[in-house]
Amino acid sequence: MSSKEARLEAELRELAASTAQLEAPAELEAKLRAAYRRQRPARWPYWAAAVAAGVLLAAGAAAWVARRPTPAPAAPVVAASPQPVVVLPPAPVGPPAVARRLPATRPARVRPREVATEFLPLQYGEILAPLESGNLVRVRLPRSSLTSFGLPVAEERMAERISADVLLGEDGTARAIRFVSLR
Amino acid sequence: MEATLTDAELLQAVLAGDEEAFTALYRRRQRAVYRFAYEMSGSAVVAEEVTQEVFLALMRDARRYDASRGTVATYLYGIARHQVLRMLEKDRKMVSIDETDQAEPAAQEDPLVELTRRERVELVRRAVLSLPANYREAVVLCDLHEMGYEEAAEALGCAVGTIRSRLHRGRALLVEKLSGLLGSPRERCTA
Repeated sequence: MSSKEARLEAELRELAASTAQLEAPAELEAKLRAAYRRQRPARWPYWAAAVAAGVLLAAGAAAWVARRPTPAPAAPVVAASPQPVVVLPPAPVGPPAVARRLPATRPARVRPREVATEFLPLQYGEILAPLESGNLVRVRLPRSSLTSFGLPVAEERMAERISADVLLGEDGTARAIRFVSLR
Repeated sequence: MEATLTDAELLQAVLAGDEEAFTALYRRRQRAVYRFAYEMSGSAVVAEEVTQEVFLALMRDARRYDASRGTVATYLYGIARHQVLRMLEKDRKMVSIDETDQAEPAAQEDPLVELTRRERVELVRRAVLSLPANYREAVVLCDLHEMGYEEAAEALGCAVGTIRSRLHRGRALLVEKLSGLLGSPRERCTA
C-alpha cells in the first residue's frame, strides 16, 4: 500500500468517526410506529381480495345465468354456425326445470336502487403513495362499523349487516371505503 | 425481551403484527440506514426520507426477505441503496453544505486544530460524494461502515469481485481527488 493510500485510509476513518453518531430524528420513530399501527389491522391480504373478487364474479355469473332468456323447450335447437351443429332431442314431457318456468315475456323485475356514501379514506396518514390504480371489492360488514366513520346508526340496527365497497391499492392495502344500501 | 432476539426473529414478529418488535428492529438498524443515506447523499433531509422509506418498505414487503440471500441488515442496506439512487436520480443537487455541521461532534480541542480537522473531514466528504454512485456505495459500505466484501456484495446485490474492483477504483479516484490533502503533512488531533 502506498503512503497516499495509507493516508486515505486514515482520512476515511476520520470521516467515518465524524458520522458515527448520526441517527434519524427522534420523531421519525413515533411516525413509523403510528404508520405500523395503522396499517396492521386494516391491511387486506392479497388472498382476501382474491377471494372477495372470486365471490363477486361467481355471484355476477349466477345472476347473469338466472336472468338469461331461455329458448322454447319443445322445438329442437340448432346451434348457429361456426359452432358445430348440435341437434337436441325434444324436451321431456315432465315438469320443466325451475329456470325454464319463467315466462319469456315476464316483466322486468324492479331492481332496488343502490345508494352509496362518498368514499371515506381509511386512516393511513400522509405516508401512502398516491393511488394510481386499484380494485373495488364488495364486502358485508356489521352496520355498527358505520360509527367508526362518524356515520349515524340506529341502536336497534347495530347488529344488521351492510354492504360496502372497499378500494384496494395496487399493493393490496385498503385505501378507502364507501357504504352501500338498497332503496 | 426484544433485545435478545436476532434481526430475523424480530422480523418474524413484525410480520405477526408485534409493534414492539418493529420498534426494536428500528432502533437497532435506523442508525446504519440513516448514516448510509447521509454519506451517500450528503443531505440530512434525504437521509431522513430514505430511513422512513426503508422502514415503510419493511412494513409492506417484509415477506420478501429471504434469509438465504443475506442478513436483515444487508436487506435494509439494499432497500436504502435503492431509495438513495432513486432520489439521486430525481435530484442531482443534493449536497447541502449547510447541513454538514450536523455530522460534526462539538469541538473540544484547540480551535485551530479542530478547524483544520473539520476542513480535512469536509474535503474527504466532498470527495466521496463526488464519486460515481457505484464506486461511492462500495467506499461507504467497506471503508466507512467497515463492512466485509461479502456483506457489501449482499447489500448491493452484486458479486464479491465487483465490490473489490469498485472499491479499488473508488479509492484510486479518491487518492487522485485528494492528492493535495494526502500529500501534505497530517495534523492529527490529540485528545
